[in-house]
Amino acid sequence: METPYLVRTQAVTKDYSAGISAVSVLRGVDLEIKQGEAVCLLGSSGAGKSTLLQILGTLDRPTAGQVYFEGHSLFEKTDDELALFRNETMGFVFQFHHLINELTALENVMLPAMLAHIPQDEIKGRALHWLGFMGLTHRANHYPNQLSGGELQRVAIARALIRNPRILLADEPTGNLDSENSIKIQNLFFELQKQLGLTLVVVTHDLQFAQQFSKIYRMKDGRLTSN
Amino acid sequence: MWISSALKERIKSQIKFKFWLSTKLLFNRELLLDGSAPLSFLGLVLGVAALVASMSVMRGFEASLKMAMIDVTSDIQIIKKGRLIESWDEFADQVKKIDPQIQSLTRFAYTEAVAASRGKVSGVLLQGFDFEQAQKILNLKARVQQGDLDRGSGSIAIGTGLSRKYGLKVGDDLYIAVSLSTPFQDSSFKRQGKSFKIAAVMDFGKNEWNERLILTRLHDFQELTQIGDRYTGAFVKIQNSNNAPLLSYKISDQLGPKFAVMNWYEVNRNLFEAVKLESVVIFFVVFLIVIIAAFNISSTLYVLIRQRYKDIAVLKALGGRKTFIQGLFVMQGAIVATLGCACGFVVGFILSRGFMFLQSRFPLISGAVYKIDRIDVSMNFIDFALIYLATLTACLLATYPPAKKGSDLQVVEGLKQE
Repeated sequence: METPYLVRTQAVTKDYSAGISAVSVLRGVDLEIKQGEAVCLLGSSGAGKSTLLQILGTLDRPTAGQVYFEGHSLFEKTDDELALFRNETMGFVFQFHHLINELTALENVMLPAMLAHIPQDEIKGRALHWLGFMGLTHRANHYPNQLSGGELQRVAIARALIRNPRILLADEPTGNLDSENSIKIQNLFFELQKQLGLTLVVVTHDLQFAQQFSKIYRMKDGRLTSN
Repeated sequence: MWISSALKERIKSQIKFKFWLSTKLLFNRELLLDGSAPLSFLGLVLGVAALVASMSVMRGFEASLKMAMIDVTSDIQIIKKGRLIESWDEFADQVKKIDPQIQSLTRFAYTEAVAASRGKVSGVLLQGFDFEQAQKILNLKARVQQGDLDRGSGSIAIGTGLSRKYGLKVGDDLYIAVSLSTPFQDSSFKRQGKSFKIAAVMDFGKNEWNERLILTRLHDFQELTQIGDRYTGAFVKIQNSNNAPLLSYKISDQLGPKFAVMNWYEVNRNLFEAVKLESVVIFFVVFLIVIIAAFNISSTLYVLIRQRYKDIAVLKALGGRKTFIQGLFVMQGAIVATLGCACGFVVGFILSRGFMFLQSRFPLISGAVYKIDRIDVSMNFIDFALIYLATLTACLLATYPPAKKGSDLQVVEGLKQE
């Protein structure tokens, strides 16, 4: 029996207005991602891969087209319903760590669970577990400005995992790291995917990184050119 | 409405989390030390302090005047019109039976007189009463500035104004003359005078009294004015001074038209009403400072939200709902208002104390205009609560537009900021 699609897009377009004209960033993208798949969106700068990832992650709404999650149309939901959906289902890792500077590493990791109003005693253990998994237990009470680039990104990954997401979306997660840290993070992604059976969608322009994925979608000028 | 304990717990934890995150985002070094935030906060503190100080002075004026009236003339005064009262016991019983709220009363007599000393002459109001009985009703001892009231027969107590005017001090003599009517000629009078020893100099609280009122023993008064064992009226003490206006109507009704019944409020009704009205006006005028400060806080919050675009976007990406983001910044407004009020109350208290200190050194208040020349600043819990509520409301209203702007932020826009 064929694995059902976890995420499917149908003719997704995204236009941005620029004065009186409009710029098309996505032009009818059809994409299918199965549960547990490791998918890479590969393309040069401006190809529309980050925009597609944002739409897959419900961070942005498409101008036209549909995105289905387990067969349910996502963008029929209100913004607040989408926020709840993201919190329960998705994990995000961005190019820049996007940690909150005033919170410690532990507090940053706990944040998504706190937003879901899970009692602190319950989440603290889980957050420490993920920090330990990332090898950062000793950094739990450090603030982002006290951590290195690689450590910051590992804290961001721990934050993405705290709610046990179904799908992990990462936008150029190694784009801001040196090669040593970059390889560490790449390995971490595949380890997580294997251990947890996570569905992984990663945007990158790093060919070496892309080649490790089971499925690669190439993008050019807002269109998927091959997979 | 019934709320389950689980829901209560959930609401409690939501508020706790929002408060925690608000404070984390609010109290960071950049915001506290740089930019307009400290100045906006200072504006709020000064606005609240001005409100506290002005309200304390207004309340103090009201309280000082009330206290002076009650200390010197008791809650209620009963004065016989025309002929003097002869039988004290009978009259006292009659008054006491009117209402159980009446605690005690003492008789007194007064007359216009002329005081002369060291070549100066001026009109005074001579009042005589039983000092021992009066201690239970009036609070004269607290108003003694120099000397002692218990100096026996032939002694008097004068006000600070009269003391200054004549250069008199305790132990000096003051000649007092009264006019006595002659039984056979309606249009003439004879003079009766006596020299009294000054036993005490008092601050009666009211400027007019300080310059004119002279207290003596009833026996000395009766001897000087040759009225025998008769008197003009009675000072009445009741359980609750605030009931004096109502009770005085009742006494007046029972005693009939031959008696004038006055109370501390009625005697200065216009002044008390004016102070009440002025308090409201001053509150709103000074509150404008708080409103301006709230606008400053609003503009600071706009800047803060602009600086926090990335964090707002992250919170939304991680599942923070619009209402949560809005609540986060409104909570910051509430925290700023509460801290502003707390600091403002302290600064206002210091300002009020400063005013008290200055008025003890310099004549800040004209007794001729305001009836009293010294105000004991009074702080009232209701005023504090009102100032806090008004400040909180102003800050919350001012916080709402930037909070709304923050919550409407598109996640993608915010994430672009680095």
